[in-house]
Amino acid sequence: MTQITNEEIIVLSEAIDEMDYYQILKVSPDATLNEIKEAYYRETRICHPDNFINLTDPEIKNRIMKVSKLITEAYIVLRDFEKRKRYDTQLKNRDAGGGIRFVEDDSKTEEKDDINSPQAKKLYNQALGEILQNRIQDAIKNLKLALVFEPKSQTIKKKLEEIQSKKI
Amino acid sequence: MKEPVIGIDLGTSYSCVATVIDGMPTVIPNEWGERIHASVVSFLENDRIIVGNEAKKRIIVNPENTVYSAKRLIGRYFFSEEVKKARAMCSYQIVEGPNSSVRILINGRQYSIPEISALVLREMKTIAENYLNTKVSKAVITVPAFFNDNQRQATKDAGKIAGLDVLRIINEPTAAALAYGFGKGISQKVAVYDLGGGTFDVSILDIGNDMFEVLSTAGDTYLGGDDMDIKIMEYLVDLIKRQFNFDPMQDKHILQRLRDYSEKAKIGFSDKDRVEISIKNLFTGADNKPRDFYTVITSDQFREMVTPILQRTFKVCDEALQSGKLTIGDIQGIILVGGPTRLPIVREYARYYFQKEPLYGINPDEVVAIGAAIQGDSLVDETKKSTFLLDVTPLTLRIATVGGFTDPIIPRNSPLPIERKRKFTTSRDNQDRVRIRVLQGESNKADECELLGEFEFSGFKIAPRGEVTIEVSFDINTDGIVNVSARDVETGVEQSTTIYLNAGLSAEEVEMSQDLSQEIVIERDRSNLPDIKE
Repeated sequence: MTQITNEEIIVLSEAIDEMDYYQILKVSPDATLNEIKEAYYRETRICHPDNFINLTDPEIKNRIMKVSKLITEAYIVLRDFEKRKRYDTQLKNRDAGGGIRFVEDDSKTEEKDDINSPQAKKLYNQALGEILQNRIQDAIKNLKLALVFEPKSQTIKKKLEEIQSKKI
Repeated sequence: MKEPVIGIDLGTSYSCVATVIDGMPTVIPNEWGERIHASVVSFLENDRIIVGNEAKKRIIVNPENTVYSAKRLIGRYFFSEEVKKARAMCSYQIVEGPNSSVRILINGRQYSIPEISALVLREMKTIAENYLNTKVSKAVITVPAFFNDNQRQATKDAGKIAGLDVLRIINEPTAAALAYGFGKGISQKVAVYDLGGGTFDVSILDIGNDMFEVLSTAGDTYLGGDDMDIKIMEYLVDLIKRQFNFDPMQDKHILQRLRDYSEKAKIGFSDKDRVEISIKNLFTGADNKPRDFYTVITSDQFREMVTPILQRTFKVCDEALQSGKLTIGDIQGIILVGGPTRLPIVREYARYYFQKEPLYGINPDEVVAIGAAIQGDSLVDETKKSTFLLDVTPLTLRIATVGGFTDPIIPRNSPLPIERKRKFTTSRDNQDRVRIRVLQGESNKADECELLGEFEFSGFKIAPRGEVTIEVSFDINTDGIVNVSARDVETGVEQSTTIYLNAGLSAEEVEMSQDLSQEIVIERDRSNLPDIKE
């Protein structure tokens, strides 16, 4: 088991405020989904609150919780295609006031789509899953198939353009 | 020798306790060799009680003083639908306590639900202590994945009242996956189909070497094996009405007997094609003569009765898959948990839905307790941290807004631990306090969600409206327990928080219950018990 000392926890919990999600997970900005997941596991092995169950010092406990929550937050944003894209834009505009923490777009939490056909919906959802698993070719195939059932859907078209334009 | 940690599956109908002995996860039997124990508490005279299978026998003979299915009531407000349903069904008295809480009235004394659950937990603790011949104080307790914050908090309180140091509250499906000891080979996606007595949930896990990552979870807190019993009971009631021109619904005692026979019939279908139901002296007719009842239920009839219930479970499975952006083809393993999954019809439907043979290796009644024991052992073992549970929050955390609506703060299936912040400004001049109602649920309407509590923040500077901004942190820890705090953005000063409405017990109440609970003696000598006359 990888050990972390109290001193290291204090240093990390201070420094983490200045780190972006890539730095928190110790991955490069072009990391693949698999790399992000591995990094999340790796960092969790060190900082999971369960490792500190016998710890009595509330201050150290709070610091470890803070780090642990930020590791989870980094994972939530970077594993999600949409969120990561918006976060990357946000990071690029850092000088213009964009922070290093992802800002949830509250108006978009309940996503609406324009897919009515159940077949198209099923294929679309399947494609979303495949994007998450980096099976881009399968996703493209299913999105195209979904368009057969729902030819006018902007949601499907947009998603298709998105993944075709981005090389993953 | 290091102090043992016990894993407790605190079920709606049955509970089970396990521990790891010399590296081997072991279910701990009681003195009579019983490995699972009815989650039933029966009150005798003079602060004496019985817990477990012996207590279950008394639901019929001592209905007002025998408490069962307390898990359905834990962490609920008195005005909730669940409590209303329970009040109509249960033979013991459910009354309203302070702050809209639920209390059970026995022999003129009121008990909170955590106090009742604590008695079941204390019995589990005692069983372990007798078997291991040593004091036990540390435990991991499981809850349905779908439990909200109130229910988790109340379960933790029950542990404390029982004199246990609850190391972790973990989710039943995650525990089940742990028990099957995945993660030793390649990583794979596993669905845990958990059909218990009172609740159903399904979780999809991605299991790597030492990581048990929950991808999504979905459930129904009012769907379980009990619904099968009720279906059979309704069938019997109908039959009796037609055969005798007598309505058993009018008599809670008779109804409870029918319920018992229904449960036995259901269990019978685990290995039989037809089940006979023969009840002596069901009721006394107008001529003062006792009436006996006899019928046979075939597996085809049983199938017809339970199919709608099982269909509902697979709708929940659809939901979990969709939420995890997965399809059935992604699932490489299926674990069945809960007594009802022993029924061939459940296995058949599960096989058909997942298109794969489910895993049966471990007794579905014991698998959760075993997983909890493994996790407990891993938590206290400093030398090897073998497994990590990466769980998600099953319900969206929300705040109430104007007009009875809500705003989502933390979406369901978010990995834990997690924190989200929200800024609030004052809306009136010289406003000195801000109140926030926090809820959990999937509806944007407040009354369709479960209310967690109402928080009031005060102590910030008095200023014209809009000039004071406070930042509220919503925090969910790895046990799934919610914490809300606030600070003044300008000064950074932490605001004092008052909780106005809360379903749970305060720290003082828990402490008081702890003391009171000590006065109750669990009767363990069965020869000493009053006879049951049926």
